[in-house]
Amino acid sequence: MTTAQVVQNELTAVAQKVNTLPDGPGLRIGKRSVLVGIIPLVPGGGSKFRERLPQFQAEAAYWEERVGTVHDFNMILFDNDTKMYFTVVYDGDFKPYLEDLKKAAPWFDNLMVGVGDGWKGMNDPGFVKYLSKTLITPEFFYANYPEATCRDVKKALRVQGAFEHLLDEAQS
Amino acid sequence: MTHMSNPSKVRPGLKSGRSNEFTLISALKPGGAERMRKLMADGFTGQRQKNTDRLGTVHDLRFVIFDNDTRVIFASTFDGDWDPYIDDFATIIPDEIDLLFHELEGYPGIHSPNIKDWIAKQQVTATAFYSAYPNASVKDLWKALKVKDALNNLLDEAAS
Repeated sequence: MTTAQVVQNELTAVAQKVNTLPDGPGLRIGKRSVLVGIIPLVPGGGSKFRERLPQFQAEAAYWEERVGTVHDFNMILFDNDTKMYFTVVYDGDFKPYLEDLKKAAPWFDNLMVGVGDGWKGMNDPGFVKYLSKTLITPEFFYANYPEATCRDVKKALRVQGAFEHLLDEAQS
Repeated sequence: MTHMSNPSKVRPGLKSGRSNEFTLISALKPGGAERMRKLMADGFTGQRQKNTDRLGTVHDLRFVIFDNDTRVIFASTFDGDWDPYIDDFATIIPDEIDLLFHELEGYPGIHSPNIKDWIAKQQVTATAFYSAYPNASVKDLWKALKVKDALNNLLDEAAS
């Protein structure tokens, strides 16, 4: 990320501080990080990807719950299905995220082996090097409620639900 | 000034619960990548950030320059429907949007009557989309996080 001069004033005093990650590509605001990459597909990989996609989408909540730190994630085929763009918003640093991600290795491999050019599997010794080559640091990132982790958010929603139930019961 | 359009028009993008993904891929004007980098070097600061918060519907967004500085991806996760999302851009943060998008080839300006058609044409619908809390809007989350903090304070006070 380029660091141009910023004039400090009353407006910049309330800025979201955007940092580069200490251990990999990507940007961070508060506790929230963003990861972006573009993976080239093998010839015919796009149609195979689309065939496998319904199962992948149907299992998303199960596997991402196991990973536990991902706020949102999407994948997009473009350039006539020759490339896949993906982006993930997650909590914390890059290397711990990669470790978390391995909990969902069967899910990703069932989609990507034979689709992503060079994707040999997430437990392949060269996987981190392979993935790292596909990553691009965004120029710009904005996150709402950046100090809340995914677990904080889910807990807050549970607490609020319980609190509303308590109030309903007290009034009944 | 807003450009309301036929709400029954099919719009691009995937939805999960109340969350939507929005991804746009566009060519950049010659030299646009470098100018964008300078502009974005420190994210949204001050009033621009407050204005984006005021939208109250955007969970996160990012700009990614790629293909040897010739193209850009803009991607966001937001609540609600496509047309109100673009209308909010035009009414609440028009200057920020024009500032961020003016280096995109063919960008007509947020107040142009052609803006929605232009955006829809550049937009690419995701093939897969996951949101960890798809039924909670940004405003729901602000409230839930405040309630959680208030209850934590109450419990701390009660225990002190």
